[in-house]
Amino acid sequence: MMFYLSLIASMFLALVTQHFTGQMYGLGGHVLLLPVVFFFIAAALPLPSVFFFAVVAGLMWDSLTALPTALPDGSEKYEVMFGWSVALYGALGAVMNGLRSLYLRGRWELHCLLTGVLTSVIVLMEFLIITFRREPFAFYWPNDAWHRIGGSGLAAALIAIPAFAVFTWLGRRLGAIKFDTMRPD
Amino acid sequence: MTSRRQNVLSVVAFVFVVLCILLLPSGNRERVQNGFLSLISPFLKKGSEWDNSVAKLRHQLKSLRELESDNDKLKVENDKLKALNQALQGVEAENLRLKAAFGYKDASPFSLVPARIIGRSESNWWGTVKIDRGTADGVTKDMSAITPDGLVGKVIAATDHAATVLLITDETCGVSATLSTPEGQTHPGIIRVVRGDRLANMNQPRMTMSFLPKRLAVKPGWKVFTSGLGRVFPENIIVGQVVETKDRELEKEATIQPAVNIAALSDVFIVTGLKGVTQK
Repeated sequence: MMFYLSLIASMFLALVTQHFTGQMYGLGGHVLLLPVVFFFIAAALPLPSVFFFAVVAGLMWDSLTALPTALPDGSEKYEVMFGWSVALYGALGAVMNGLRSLYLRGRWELHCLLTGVLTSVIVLMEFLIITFRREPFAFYWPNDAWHRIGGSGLAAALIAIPAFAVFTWLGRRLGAIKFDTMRPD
Repeated sequence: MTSRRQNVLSVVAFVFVVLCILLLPSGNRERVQNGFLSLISPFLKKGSEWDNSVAKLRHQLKSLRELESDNDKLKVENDKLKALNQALQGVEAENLRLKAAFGYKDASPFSLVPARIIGRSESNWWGTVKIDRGTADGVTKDMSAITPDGLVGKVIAATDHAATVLLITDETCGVSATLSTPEGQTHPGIIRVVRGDRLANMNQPRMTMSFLPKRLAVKPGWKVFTSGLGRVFPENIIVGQVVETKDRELEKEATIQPAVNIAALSDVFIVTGLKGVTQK
């Protein structure tokens, strides 16, 4: 229970910190911390817990980003549906959870790499949605867009290494994570 | 087998929860969003204070590194003087900035609420900032955010003590605007929407004024002001100036450089109405 509460607090702090981390030097992608914490959860905890945290992370994110835009006639348009991030986090968390058995053998190098890839997927999905919703639809994406998508992923992969180490240590200290090194490969 | 059944059940429950959230009535959705903004804003305020302290410290460390080549005796003396000077310069700059801001507030025809930026954009694609004023200070949705330099954006969400401002450099923030020559001649007929770029961010703000008549000889340096037609932004607030133009098949397009340095933004004013008249 303590571990779960500390993970919720970590997600909240990650989101607060994310407001001040700015962009990755040379690439332009925002340094996103919330996905790093979430993908650790997805790698380490069972699937029902992953879905619970996907709801928490998705609601936190959509509360800040899924805001309405005023149309000229006075009405409002939500270009991103409130709750779509919950679905996205759940789906990507389930992908990461597929590698949980490897994590439970004490190996999490691949998970750090996958954290970067999946964070890029989140940024890519956001860009796809706003590109579909806004006029004109862009078939050609400038390098800036790719830099941001890749930059956020690269930053997440790098941050994932110390973050996974710290959360793994914390989880083992609190008895929430038990490595099973006897598991067959 | 039990674990597999648990997983299947959790997938079903998750899909149900997602559907419930997606179908949430707009009133409840706004309540959740405002509640979370209220929850996070004290942490953003604290974080903003720490961020400023760290930036100051970093600036001081840089100056010390530059002095490493000096001889030992002068170095110590120089360090002391530089640190003192820097601190005083910081105080003076802050003093001048605040004086200018209060002067602007007095001189402005608008009723203004000063606000401090407590959080910058947290994502890649949405250009927003969080400010430390909310409905308790008279700040509500659709109010304009300005600085003495020009237009900043508009309030899109407000809680008791915090609000979210959509920057003019965001693609979704359209501004009805009119062109004016450097000599002050206005082209009242030319009222177009200025939009931010999809890839605009704090460091590279870009805006486009489209659908200009092709025959119009728009020149770099021409200023762009709000027209007031959109009913969100008051008229005659400077938005930016033309930096280049591009001829399209049927129209002309101008790239606008914002008058406000979005990257260095630290304080804004929220227009709550004209002096003596409260905005509805």
